[in-house]
This record gives sequence, C-alpha cells and structure tokens, in this order.
Amino acid sequence: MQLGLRLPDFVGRRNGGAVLRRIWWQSLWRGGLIALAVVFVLSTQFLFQLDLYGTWPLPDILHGWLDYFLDLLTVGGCIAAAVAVAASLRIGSGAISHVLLLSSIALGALAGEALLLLRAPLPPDVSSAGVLFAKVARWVVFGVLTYAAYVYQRRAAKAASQAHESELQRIQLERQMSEARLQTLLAQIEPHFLFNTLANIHRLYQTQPGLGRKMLASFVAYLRAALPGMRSDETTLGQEVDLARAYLDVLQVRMGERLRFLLDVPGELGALPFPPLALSTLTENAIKHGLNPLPEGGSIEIRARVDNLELRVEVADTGAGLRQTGGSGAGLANLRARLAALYGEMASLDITANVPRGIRATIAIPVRRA
Amino acid sequence: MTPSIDSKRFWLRRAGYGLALGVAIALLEFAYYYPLVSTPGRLGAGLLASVLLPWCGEGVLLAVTVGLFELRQAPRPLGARQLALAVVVGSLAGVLAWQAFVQFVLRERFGIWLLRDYVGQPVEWAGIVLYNVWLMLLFGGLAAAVYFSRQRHARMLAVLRAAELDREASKEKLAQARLASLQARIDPDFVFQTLSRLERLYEADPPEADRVLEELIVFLRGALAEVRAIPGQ
Repeated sequence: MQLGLRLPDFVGRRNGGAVLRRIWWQSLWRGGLIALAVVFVLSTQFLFQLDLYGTWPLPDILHGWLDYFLDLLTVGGCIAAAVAVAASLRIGSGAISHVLLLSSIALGALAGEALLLLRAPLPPDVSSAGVLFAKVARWVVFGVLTYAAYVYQRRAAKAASQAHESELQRIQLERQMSEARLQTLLAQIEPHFLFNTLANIHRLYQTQPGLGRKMLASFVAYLRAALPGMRSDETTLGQEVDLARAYLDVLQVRMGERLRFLLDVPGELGALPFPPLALSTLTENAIKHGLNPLPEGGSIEIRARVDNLELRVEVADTGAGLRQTGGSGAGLANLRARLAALYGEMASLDITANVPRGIRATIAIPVRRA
Repeated sequence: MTPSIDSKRFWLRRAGYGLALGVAIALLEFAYYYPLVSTPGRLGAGLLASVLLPWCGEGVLLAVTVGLFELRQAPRPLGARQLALAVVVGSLAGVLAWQAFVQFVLRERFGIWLLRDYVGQPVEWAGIVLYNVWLMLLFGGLAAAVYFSRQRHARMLAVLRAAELDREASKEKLAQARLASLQARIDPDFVFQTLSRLERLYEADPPEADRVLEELIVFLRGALAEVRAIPGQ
C-alpha cells in the first residue's frame, strides 16, 4: 500500500502519538482532497446532458448539479473512508495489498451507492442489483486508474530524489578524487626534483667538490624546510618563504651568476597561513620557463604585502616572458585548483607581463590569522 | 519506454491500449444501461453497433492520436500539457467520427436499433456526442495520466540506475586514485636521513660517499619509473 498511511509503523515509538496524529491527519487531508477532486470531475457529467438546457432554467440546472455533486460526494466519502481503513491495515505486500485496496474501493462504493438507493428508491421494474453493480464497477475502474496514476507519480518522485542523492554523492567522490590526484602529483614532483638535484650534486662532486658540498648542504636545508609542510594542508608564509630561499640557494650553486634573487617579505607576515608549495610552484616556474631558457639568466623577486585584508604574494622574474612559456599550464592549473579548493572565490592567481620583461605571478588569498 | 517510435510494435501497442480502454468503457456503459432495458431478449446487433464498436473505435483513435503526438515530440517524452491536448483532440475526433458512423449510417441507413432506442431515451446526435465526449475525456484522460506517470516512473528509474552506476564507477576510481597516491610517495624521512648521512660521509670518505650517491640516484630513477607507470593519471 503506497498511501503513506500505516498505523502499525508508528505504534510503540517514542512520541509515537504525536507522529501518528500528524501522519494520520496529513494522509486524511491528502486523501480527502483527491476524493474531492475526483468527485467534482465526475459531477460535471451532469452538465454534459444536452436536453437539460432546452427545458430547465439555469438556476434549476445549477441546483440539479449541486444535488448530483452531493450524491457523488456521499459515495466518494465512503470510498475514501474505506481506503483509509484498508491502508491502515498492514496486510501483505505487492499484489495482496493491491487486491485489498481494490476491494476497499468496491466496498466503499457499494456502501455509498446503497445509501443513495435507500434514500431514493428506483422504479419497481428496474433491477436495483444491476444498477448497483454498474455504478460500483464505474467507481472501481475510476478509482483504480486514479490510484495507479498516484502510485506511479509517487514512485517516480522517489526515484528522482534518490537519483539526485546519488548524483550528489558522486560529485563528492569526484572532489575527493581530484584531491587524491593532487596528492599524487605533489608526490611525483618530489622524486623528480630529488633526482635532478642529486644528479647535479653527483656531477659537481666529480668536478668541483667545494661547490658540490655547498649544494648538498643547501639541499639538506631545503629538505629540512620542505618535509614538514609538503604533506600537510596548510603551512605558514614564513615556512614557504624559507623553502623558496633554500630552493633558490640550491639553484644558485648550479646557475651561479645567471641567478640573482631578492626576497622582500616583512617578518610580521611570516605567521600567516599559506597553501603548501604554492610559492614553490611559482618559483620553480620562474626558473624553469623564465630564466633557464636565457643564456644570460636573470633575477627573481618575491614580495608579500597585506592590503585590505588580502595577502598578496608575487613572484616576478626577468626571464623569457609569456610567449616562450610552454608547458607550464599544468602546474598553474593545478595551483589554481588548489586555491579554489581551499578558498573558493576569495582567492586568485594572476599571471601578467613584468616590466621590462618576464612574468609577474600574483597569488591573492584572504587573510586569516593562524 | 518509448523504443523505436515508428516501429510496427509501437503502433500495435498503442492500438492495444486504445482497444482495452474502449472495451472497459463499453462494459461499463453496457452495465449502466442493461438494467434499464425492458426487453433484454432482443439486444444483439444493436449492442455491438452502439456500444462495443464505437467505444473501441474511439479508444483506438484516441490512443493513435496520442501516438502521433509522441511521434512529433520524439525522442523527447510528451509533457503533461501536450498529453492533455492529445487527449482532447483524440477524444473529439474519435467521438465525432464514430458517432456519425453509428447514427447516420448504421441507424438511419441500415435501421439498426441502438441501446438508447431499447431504453427509450431520445437519440439526439448532439446530446450523445456531448455525453460521449465527456466519458471519453474522463476515462481517456485518466488512462493517459496513468500511462504518462508510468513512463515518467520508468524514465526516473533509468536515471536512477545510471546515477548509481556513475557513483559506483566514481567510488572505484577514487579507490584507485588513493592507491596511486599512496604508491607515489617516497618515504621522505628515508631520503632526508640518507642525505644527512651522505653529507657526513663526504667529509670522511668521499669515494664511498660517491658510490652511495650513485646508488641513491639509481634507486630514485627506479622509483620515478614506478610512479610514472601508475594507471589512472
């Protein structure tokens, strides 16, 4: 039975009485409305009798319609009551409950039509049983069709809401998945960087042991700064700047005069939270796509400012510039996605041309005290 | 629910629905008038001609009209408003055509008595048409509502099934991505400690340190290859 009206479901629960009363009234209200609508639609049959209009005045026709409507309402009320009782019995499921409902419609209709017959008996030459049967059959067909439409609509609505639920869960899973992929990417950057740097150190030790030692020391310093923050969700700007400095130190050994850098970050901003590896990504990009392609190298300047409750960190290089940058899209897109995941609309990453040459990348995030 | 719409099966099915509707209304009508007939013995051709034939015909015409509307709308399903329009058009067309046939051909040309003739009710063309249109709209409309709701239910079930499949696929992909993420990690403490040791070793025994560094590089190259080979990236 799909009418949402099962008394035994609510018996024996805490506050069962209140729930029961509410459910009872709700389904009674809904069932009553449906019955009323059905009865009204059926009553319009009265108006489709053409011979009325020639012989009766309009007020009489309307009066007759009202009478007919009330007659039908008697039967409709009996049916609604019978269905309510049947729905409250928790008997069987599937086919059995359908049969139960069908018989409750038939019984209700029978009772209602019998009442009407008692009030206004038929002429003696007409079989009451035959008339009763015809009328009950009509009610049953009508009731079954209405019930079927109602049940299908309800099931469709339920399936739709379940599908919506499932879709929401899927979106959540997708979000978790992009997070996991991001972790994988981060984890992939590390061994790559490790590998390259160690290969460099190895080569330097063969040719210039002094420089090799210096690079190894810088690299260990870099790792010391990087390791705690690399896996966590948020670090401070101070840690990020230390990391960038250690990284630039490592590269300075390799690039020598080709790399000049300047870090201008006020000490009091060091404690502000900052997304991990965001600054490193920009710094690595500036080296890889900006300075590396140029034989004469260039300079990198890292600046941080707080303005209007917004922390702006910019990395400006005098490298090859926007046009020559190929292949940096993935790293930046990655960073953008992470900023969006952490701050939503409130964070931004802008890439503009630097004057006189190179690129200026600016991260802006809302200020939150650690 | 609505497969290849111009197939023979589609139209046969529509006609079957219409026929079922017509038979149901015909039975109800017959049951309604039968107690009023004073001489039941003579019923026969009139019953077939005035009840079964027109109602079945009207039902089929209604169902075919709905089918035509569906065809026009395909592959999108019919909306509630178009369904209502289809029912009104189909009912009117069916009733007008079949009642004209019954009244003017069967009754007036071949002299077949209709059920109302037996009951003694006036057989007026306009009155009968009006009454039949009402019945057809009522039952046809309800049947169409059931049909429409059932279709919507089936569509929603399909949507639900697809959404659940998608969700399961996402679950699986997430598990893979998590596994890949775990596999991709090189223990940072290991690297850090090895490098610290290497730094000290370079002070004490540079050739040995060189050898260790070479081994570390070989190891990292292997780890890198492994990370790159992770599926689902």
